[in-house]
Amino acid sequence: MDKNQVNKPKQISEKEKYIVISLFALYVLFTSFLFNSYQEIGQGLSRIVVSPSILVSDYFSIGNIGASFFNAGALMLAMIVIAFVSKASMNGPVISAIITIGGFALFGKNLLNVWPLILGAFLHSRFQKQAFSRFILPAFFGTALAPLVSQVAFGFADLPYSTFVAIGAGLIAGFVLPPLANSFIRFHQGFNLYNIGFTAGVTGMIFMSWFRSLNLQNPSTLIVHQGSNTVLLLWLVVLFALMIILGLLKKVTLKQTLDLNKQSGRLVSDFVTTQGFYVSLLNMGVVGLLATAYVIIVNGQLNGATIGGIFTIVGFGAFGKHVRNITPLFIGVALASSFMIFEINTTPAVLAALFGTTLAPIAGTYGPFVGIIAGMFHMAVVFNVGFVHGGLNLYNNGFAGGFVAAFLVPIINFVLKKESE
Amino acid sequence: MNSEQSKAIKMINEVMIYFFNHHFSDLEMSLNVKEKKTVISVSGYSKTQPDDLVEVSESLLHPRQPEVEEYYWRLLGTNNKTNQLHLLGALVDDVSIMYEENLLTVQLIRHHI
Repeated sequence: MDKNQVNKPKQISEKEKYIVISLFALYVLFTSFLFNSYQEIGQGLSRIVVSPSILVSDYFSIGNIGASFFNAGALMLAMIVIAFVSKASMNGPVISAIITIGGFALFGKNLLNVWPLILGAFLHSRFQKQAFSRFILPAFFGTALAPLVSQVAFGFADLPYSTFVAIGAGLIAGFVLPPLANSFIRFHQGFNLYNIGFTAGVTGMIFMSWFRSLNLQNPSTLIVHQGSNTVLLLWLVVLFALMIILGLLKKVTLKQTLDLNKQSGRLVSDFVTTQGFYVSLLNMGVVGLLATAYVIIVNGQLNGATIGGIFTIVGFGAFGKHVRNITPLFIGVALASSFMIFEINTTPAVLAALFGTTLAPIAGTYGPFVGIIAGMFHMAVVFNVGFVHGGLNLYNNGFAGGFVAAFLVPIINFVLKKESE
Repeated sequence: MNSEQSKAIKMINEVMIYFFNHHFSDLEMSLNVKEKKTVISVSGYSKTQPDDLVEVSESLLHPRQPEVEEYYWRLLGTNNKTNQLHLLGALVDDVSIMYEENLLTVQLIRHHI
């Protein structure tokens, strides 16, 4: 049987998928002008692109809200163009990568610092004599190391030829990430959705070790915006409601949604291919609303970093996350806050909850109780690993999640095996 | 060992996990890594037809996904609890699944591109 002859009714054309995801990016791009004028956005962008951008550098504070959304919308559109030119399928992994870039374009990725990494991955594809589309996922997700470029270019005052060193570092990192990501994935067996987060954490650690050994130090950074919850809540609710309405207009049924929620979410769970595009879009809107509700319920702040976390959950709503497997992680992190030293409503703690959903496959595979336990472990570990890469890796939660998954999954399997005996 | 041979090992591991998890016996397998394609065939006996055979077919029958293959293929055959049949489907071009006279035969063909 030739698989290309298989015609599933739920599948739609690549063109339609590209258009809908482009509309998402265009909403972010054009609504930026509701927050700031052309001049303010230009000024904000000029501050953003020269920022060291290490974790946590909220572009809402460094530039302004409008400039941040413009940066996010423009970067997502650029990635969509790259995917289109590369003839990549707009499937769950590619959608999650594009929207994750949009989220992190609010606190770390910008129109300047992502290109050396993507070019490095492109050079890797040339080296392998393979089409770039084969490496598009590590190329896109690999922009987790964008602060490596910005920090070297603008953050190390004593470094000579810093611009050239920054471009070189980005190229090298982008070149080595594809084989590293492919290899490291076995460490957590696909139970950590942000696999590049783990890979970039190790790579960032190697780079940071060299920098520190050469007495190139970077400061601990926590720049976060606050005080705009009402308008940003409205902005997010409109976006997610539009996604849900579009899904409903395309006649997504309750059964389809329930079937999607039965998936474990373990890598590789491409909802777009297995469940359909519009049911995935509806799911993305629903998990976006749930993540936003979490921030509001714990009295957290909506800012570049936390909206970046919400966007990442939305992106992975096409690639592994749904209400059933992310809710236990939220509960686990929130419960952990009640007896750990972290305040539940601070931005780092909110980020731990949002990005802690990288462990959704654990809850999806082993049930909500184990998911809650995983959330508690994640809360403890994530605050303990950021130092090693000095904020060069934006996906710090993916780094922590890799350790938590690699630690917990074999133990869970062992316990379950004993129980079944 | 080249990369096609490495991928063939992972693919056959994944198929074997399915057969073992569904309590098939007397398994027979053949693996042929040629210059232009890999052909894998696994068969085994079970008195009852697995009730998820339709889902298995749906998981495998989708167009090849080179971007998914390149990044995730090492996950094949890594966890005995859950199958990665959708990922397996991302690596193969042609699939044949037959259950006749208590014998299930799965044949996968992967063209080297």
